[in-house]
Amino acid sequence: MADTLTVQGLILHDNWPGTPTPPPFPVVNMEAAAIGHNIVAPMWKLGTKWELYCKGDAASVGVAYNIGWSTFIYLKAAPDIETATAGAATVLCVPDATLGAGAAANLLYVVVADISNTTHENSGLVVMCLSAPTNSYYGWYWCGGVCPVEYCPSLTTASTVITDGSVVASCEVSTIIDSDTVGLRAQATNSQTPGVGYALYVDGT
Amino acid sequence: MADATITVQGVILKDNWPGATPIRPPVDYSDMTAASVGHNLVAPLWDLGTKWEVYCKGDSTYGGVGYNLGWSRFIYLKAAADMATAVAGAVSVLVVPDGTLAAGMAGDGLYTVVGSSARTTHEEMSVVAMCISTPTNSYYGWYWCGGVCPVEYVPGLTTASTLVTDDSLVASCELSTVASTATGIALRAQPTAAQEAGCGFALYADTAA
Repeated sequence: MADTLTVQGLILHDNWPGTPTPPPFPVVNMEAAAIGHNIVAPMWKLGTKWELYCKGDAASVGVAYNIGWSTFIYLKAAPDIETATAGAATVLCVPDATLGAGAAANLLYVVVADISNTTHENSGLVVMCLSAPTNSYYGWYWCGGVCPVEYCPSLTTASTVITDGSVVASCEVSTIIDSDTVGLRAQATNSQTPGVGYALYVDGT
Repeated sequence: MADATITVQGVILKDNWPGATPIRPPVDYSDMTAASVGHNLVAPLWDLGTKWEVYCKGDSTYGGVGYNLGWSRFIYLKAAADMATAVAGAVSVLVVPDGTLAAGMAGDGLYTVVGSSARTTHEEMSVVAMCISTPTNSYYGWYWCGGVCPVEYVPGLTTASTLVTDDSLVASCELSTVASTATGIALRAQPTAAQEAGCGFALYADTAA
């Protein structure tokens, strides 16, 4: 059953390889082309991570929002990420296609939103689009910590991620196929699916 | 189960709080309970959620040879407005986010913590920290949140200090959090069929009270 969770209620685990660093210069807009977002040639190495502090004050997104650390990762959009289900702000993405022995070196970092184009929807490697990605373009995605609303003009405190209606307060969440896209669910009993974060409150709110 | 205890040497905490890259402290951190590092102050010296990572030398000068060495993490949090009420915060008491976190909550809600399971609905979320001294209501300060227990940086801790458990711990088990019988926050062995996240590891079994 499809449902949603406002992004304030989600803390993401960063399961991707690598430890983040602070950006090499002050950043206020993670969707800007000037920092390498949604551009045809990569400005940073695939898998680069930045960590930013969300102040969550009235000057940013209002007091009713999480403060704290957010992690971003630099990834490449799949060549068909604009095809249904298309990437867009708040849409969850996972590695594209099927990662097999001898896969191209960058394939782990090529992501897609449509689960019919991947076999890795439950790998534990999940990110959220900050904006609508262009096919095969490089850009930043949210992968850890609190949702970085104040650094993403396409996000608001009312933004939501898709869930399956099973999310309860304080539960660990994992991924699940929800229609044609990736959603979040309360971690299943006896699950071998990796956890990808925590829900602070029930979905549907 | 009845409450039990485990000495702090036996617990490695997994840091489940937001923020992946704790920094080395920018000031003298030999006593993490000192006001000079921002501990137990009415006004915060650091941003909530700030993390510091320090190395515990674990030698005879610091905690004795019978103790873990290695990395410890601290996080800067705010004590709940009723932190001093039973179950009151105190050194080695576990804390979790206060009250009920809901859509539209205040920005600092996640980082306001309490030691009583009766005043939170997040006692099993495994986002947990440990008091390093007795917190004053609504004051800001440092809490242990990851790695080995930082005995040598916390005057109120000794190698005999203990954490509350539910008497389920076995050697090498993963841990999660649960309400204690005494309505505090306790550690338990990760249950079979668990849906909760783990918050650390027990190196050895707990001891019945």
